[in-house]
Amino acid sequence: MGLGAAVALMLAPWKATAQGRPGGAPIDEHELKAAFVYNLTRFASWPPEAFAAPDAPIVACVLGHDPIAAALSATLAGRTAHGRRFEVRRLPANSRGDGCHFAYVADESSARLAEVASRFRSRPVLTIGDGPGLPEAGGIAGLERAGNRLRLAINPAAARSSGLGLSSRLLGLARLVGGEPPAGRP
Amino acid sequence: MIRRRLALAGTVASCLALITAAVLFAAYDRQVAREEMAEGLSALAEILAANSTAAVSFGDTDAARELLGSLRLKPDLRGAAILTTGNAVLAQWGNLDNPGHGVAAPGFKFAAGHLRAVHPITVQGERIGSLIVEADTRELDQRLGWLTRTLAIGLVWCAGTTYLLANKLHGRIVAPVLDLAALARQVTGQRNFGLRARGGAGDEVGVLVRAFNEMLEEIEARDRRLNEQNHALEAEIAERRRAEADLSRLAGQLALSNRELQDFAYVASHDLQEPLRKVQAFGDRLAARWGTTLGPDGVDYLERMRSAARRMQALIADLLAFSRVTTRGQAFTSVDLAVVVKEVLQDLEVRCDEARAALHVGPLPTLDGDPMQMRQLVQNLVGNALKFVRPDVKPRIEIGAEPAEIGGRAAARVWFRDNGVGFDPRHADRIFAIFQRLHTRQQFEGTGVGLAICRRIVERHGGSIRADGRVGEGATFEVVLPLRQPTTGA
Repeated sequence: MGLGAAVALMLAPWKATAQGRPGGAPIDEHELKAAFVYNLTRFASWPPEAFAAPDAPIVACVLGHDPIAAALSATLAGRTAHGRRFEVRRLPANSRGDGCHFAYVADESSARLAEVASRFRSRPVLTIGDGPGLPEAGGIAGLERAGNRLRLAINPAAARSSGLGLSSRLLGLARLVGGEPPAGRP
Repeated sequence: MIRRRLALAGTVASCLALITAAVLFAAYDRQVAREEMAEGLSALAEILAANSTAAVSFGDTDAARELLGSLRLKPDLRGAAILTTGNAVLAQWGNLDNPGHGVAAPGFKFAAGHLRAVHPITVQGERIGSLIVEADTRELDQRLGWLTRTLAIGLVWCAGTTYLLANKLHGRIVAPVLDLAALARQVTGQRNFGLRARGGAGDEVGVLVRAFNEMLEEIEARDRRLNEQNHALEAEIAERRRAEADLSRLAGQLALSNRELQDFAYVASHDLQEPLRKVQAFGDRLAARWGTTLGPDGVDYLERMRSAARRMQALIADLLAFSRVTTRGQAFTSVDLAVVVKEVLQDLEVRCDEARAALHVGPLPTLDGDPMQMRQLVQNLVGNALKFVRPDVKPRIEIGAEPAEIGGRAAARVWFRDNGVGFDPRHADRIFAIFQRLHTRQQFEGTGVGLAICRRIVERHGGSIRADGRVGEGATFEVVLPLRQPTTGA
């Protein structure tokens, strides 16, 4: 099964959207990742104090320049999770990400990932790394390539300490990453 | 016969009840089993659907396969599949035909050999796919077959046992009835009402046996009474036959002596006339030739002798007439009584005029009779009415008739009513006897034979005559005569 077929299966719920595209071109990897992010929000829960108001949107932040921002905006437009709309923000790579509910971290080097993870530690922000390494570095989730397919990696302990809830069904799918971030690095 | 029928009826009823119960039980059992199966499968589908949300959301085929793979622990499942909303198969396990079919309608559906449950896979209210599980229902069918076989065997066993048992039990119930039937045949065959039925406890059969015995006793008593009465009746009939024979013998003797008497009376009266005529002739001659020389006493004696001779002549004439009624009777022919009465009244016209009698004659019938005797009957009765008049009362005579019956035969009642001296009703029968007179010769002359002749005429015609009267008021004579005489009937 090639990546294209997997994408087609994967994005079946958005088939109408895909077919609405000019020329019906195959969905690219960014859109696939955006769909992953959207699905992730549906299996994750935030503490109530993470939202300013009951109808406040889920703020999706993209750190650094990443082409996914456009795909994410397109995917989340008009959709809801937990009864909330989405708001996509582009932030600089070194932003603290205040007000964000999840932060999409672009492909970075391993050293940078640890810094990013520690920046969001213990705050109810679901960090998603593009590529492997972020969960191991103390982040919460990562999108990995497994063969020709995308797969989730999750660090449940990091999610717990940040006050986020992740569905056990989600955990059942993901590659679980154990361990706390390296000691002495607040 | 009756025993087998009863047993058969009981068996059929039991079998029907058993079959009904068995069919109902089988249907109920099947329904319950199906419902249980559907419920279980639906629950399983729901659990699988809930557990597959993440796998479907992320298109994780491996996770979906792993999930379905856990179903291998349930041997009665045929297969399962997880479908996305486009009905594309994300994962499939087992043997499933056409997994995309009927996915639109969640629920469960029985098909040939399997049960399919479909459950939607939803995430936060949004349907993202469908889960299909199919269970093998052959076990259900096997269960039904097993149940049917068991019930059939049970039914056969029950029917056989019921028949044998019913035969035995009914035998006990029916045996007294059969005995009763045999006894009834014996009673009717031998006409022996002394037999009695035995047996019968305190149940309905016992009541039947007792009632039958009571009936037999009653019949026996009646039979005895009937026989006694028959014997008495036979004795009575024999007695009557004897009496009848005696009577007819006596009647024969009587008729013989009567005829002899009549012949004697006729011959005697006829022969008596000859010497009487000589007495009269020589009396006349004596009066004519020797009347003047006899002297007053001699003439008186002579006249008395001649008067007595005349009276004797009248007596003999009447006696002759009386005896002639039977000895010189004519054959019966049709007689019009109106004509007879008219002729008699013409003959008696002088006497009627002298008495200034008022006559009323009603319509009179025509009947079979001796014309001469009919005439004599009317003449005697009208003559009596003209004779026994009261001196100071103008005589009135009514003659009339009305239909009557004699022993079922058509007859006529003819009456002669007058307003004369009448008679004491105590003598109503006596006046028809010969030589019987209610009055002295000085009051009314006559020999006392007229009414006796009347009775003899009427009796010869098979009729009857009776008189009714009251002293000083008048008399009524009623004659009932049959209209047709057997000898002239046809």
